[in-house]
Amino acid sequence: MVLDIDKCIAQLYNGELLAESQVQSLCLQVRPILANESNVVPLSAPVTVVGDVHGQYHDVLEIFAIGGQCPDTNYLFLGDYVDRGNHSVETISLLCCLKLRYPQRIHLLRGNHESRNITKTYGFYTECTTKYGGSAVVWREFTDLFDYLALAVVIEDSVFCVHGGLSPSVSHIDQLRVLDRFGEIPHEGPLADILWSDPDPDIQGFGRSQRGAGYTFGAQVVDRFLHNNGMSHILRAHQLCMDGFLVQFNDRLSTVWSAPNYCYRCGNIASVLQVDPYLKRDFITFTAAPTSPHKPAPLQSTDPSSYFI
Amino acid sequence: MSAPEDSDRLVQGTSNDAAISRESAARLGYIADPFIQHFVRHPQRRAPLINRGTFTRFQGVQKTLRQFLRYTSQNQQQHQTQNQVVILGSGLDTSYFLLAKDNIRAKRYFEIDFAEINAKKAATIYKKPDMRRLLPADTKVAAGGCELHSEEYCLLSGDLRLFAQDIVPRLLEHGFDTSAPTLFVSECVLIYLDPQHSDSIIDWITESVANAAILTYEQILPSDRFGQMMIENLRARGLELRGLMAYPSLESTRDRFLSRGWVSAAAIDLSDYHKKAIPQSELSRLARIEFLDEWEEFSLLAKHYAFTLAHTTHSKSFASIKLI
Repeated sequence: MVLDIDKCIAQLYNGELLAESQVQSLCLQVRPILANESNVVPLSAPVTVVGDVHGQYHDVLEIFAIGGQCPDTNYLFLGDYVDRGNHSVETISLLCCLKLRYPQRIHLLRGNHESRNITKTYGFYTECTTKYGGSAVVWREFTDLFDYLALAVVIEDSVFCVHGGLSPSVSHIDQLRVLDRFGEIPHEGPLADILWSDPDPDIQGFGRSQRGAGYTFGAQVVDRFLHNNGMSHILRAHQLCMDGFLVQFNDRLSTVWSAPNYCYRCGNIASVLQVDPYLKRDFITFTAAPTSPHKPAPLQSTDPSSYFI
Repeated sequence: MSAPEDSDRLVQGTSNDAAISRESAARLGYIADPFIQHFVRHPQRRAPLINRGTFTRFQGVQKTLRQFLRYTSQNQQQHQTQNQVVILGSGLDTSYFLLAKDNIRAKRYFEIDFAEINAKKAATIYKKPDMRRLLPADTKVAAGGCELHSEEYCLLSGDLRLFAQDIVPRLLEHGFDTSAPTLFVSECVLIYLDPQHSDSIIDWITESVANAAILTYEQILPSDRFGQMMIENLRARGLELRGLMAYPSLESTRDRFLSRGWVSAAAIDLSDYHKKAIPQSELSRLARIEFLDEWEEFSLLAKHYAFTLAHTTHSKSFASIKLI
């Protein structure tokens, strides 16, 4: 079908879901755009970097309100668009529409939740089938599309951006460039590691991760990676930050977290990171979006089952 | 503001939520509880971190119950074993049946909750042969179906806010022995009472039960952002954590008993308990059931719940009961 992309975007801003046929057409058209991107995409500054949003659609709209609308502002999203929040469908639909409409102005990386297995457990699959009358077509379309998302970005040859972190199998970025990324996230190996790993300031090398995938990595690993690749900084997401962001390893690594009051219960602040043309980094923090009569009210998780563990 | 009756009804509703969480964990294989499914009409699969927390909580409570029953039996002559368990706000808890299935029985086991919840519980027990056959042979239905009476097991209806006036006489009437070693258990129950009411219960235990132990599992830490959000979210559902500001920390939950002369009180939050009390083999088993991705969130949530284990006397049995 011929997709009227501006109409789709307007629909989504109005709180309306795309029809199943629109989603199919959207994914079909976005796929070649993503497929043509390298595993590691070079970007110029200025760019605003966004961490995990996890289906918190109203907070994504808030991000565009405070950071500037796309395409006026360049955006880099570090993954984890779906699961946990109640509006993963709207979130990923909007981001894909914007990617189709402004392919050079918004870049989307893969997070560890852009995966068939994880989305079956953490909410996206359930949300899709609930919102589309029991059909799994929308879930399948988006999870197929996730296989095409790029793995990393380098901003101005200086700032390495990835969802999770570093891998013992990747000392040089070229090792990422040669991977075949077009498939489901493997259980282990470099592709899994960069989407699952976490920094640990208490260690020097690599350590075992309690997540069950990826590794923890310490100061020596960070320094060596930056030195070997001639970079100045690592930007990543993946971990909840109560203050919205966390800077570690003497300002060599930052975590940006963009889902305020995560799961409607954590009470945390969120942030986006503005990287200016001189590569100066500025965290803009924000709290959960206010409800608006013009937008569908975000579902509050006042369900006691969120608490009676 | 909801009327008092509405407020009670909402608190009673938490027993359904707890049962659903327990059933989710049981169905997925986190815990072994073949009975909880009978109490849940509309099962729901909970998020992995909730299942993980349900597992951890279950371990703490079951381990303490079993330790108590084992050590109090060991230290007495078999034919003279006197031990008692009192579950405050038992809801749809299945612990009596889990123990009975393993041939573990206290001399006396009391469950106390509102009549409305007990009616549902008693009816379900009687409908399901796997539970009914574990009841003592002399069990009788009473109070129009809201209670079950037998020498060994009693399901009693009452309002914990009227503990001394209403519930104590019923306990005594049904054979509660104030001199027998007794374990009281409260899982997210005392927290819903005004501190004056929950403290009254503890005062009565202190004054009247010679050898008492208590295990509580309650929320803590109201003042950080997560705690504030928790209070707000629950309030939006008409649930007030009335006891939370009075006992907001591990120290204060311990002090609650130590200040009354109890000889020992230990407290640990659920996050720490998960780290220290759950063996690696169990953690690996759980990881195979479900991948827990949100560790920061689990940790945050679990830090806001605490076990407190206290006892009144220096008996050898009680000293052997440990959280970790």
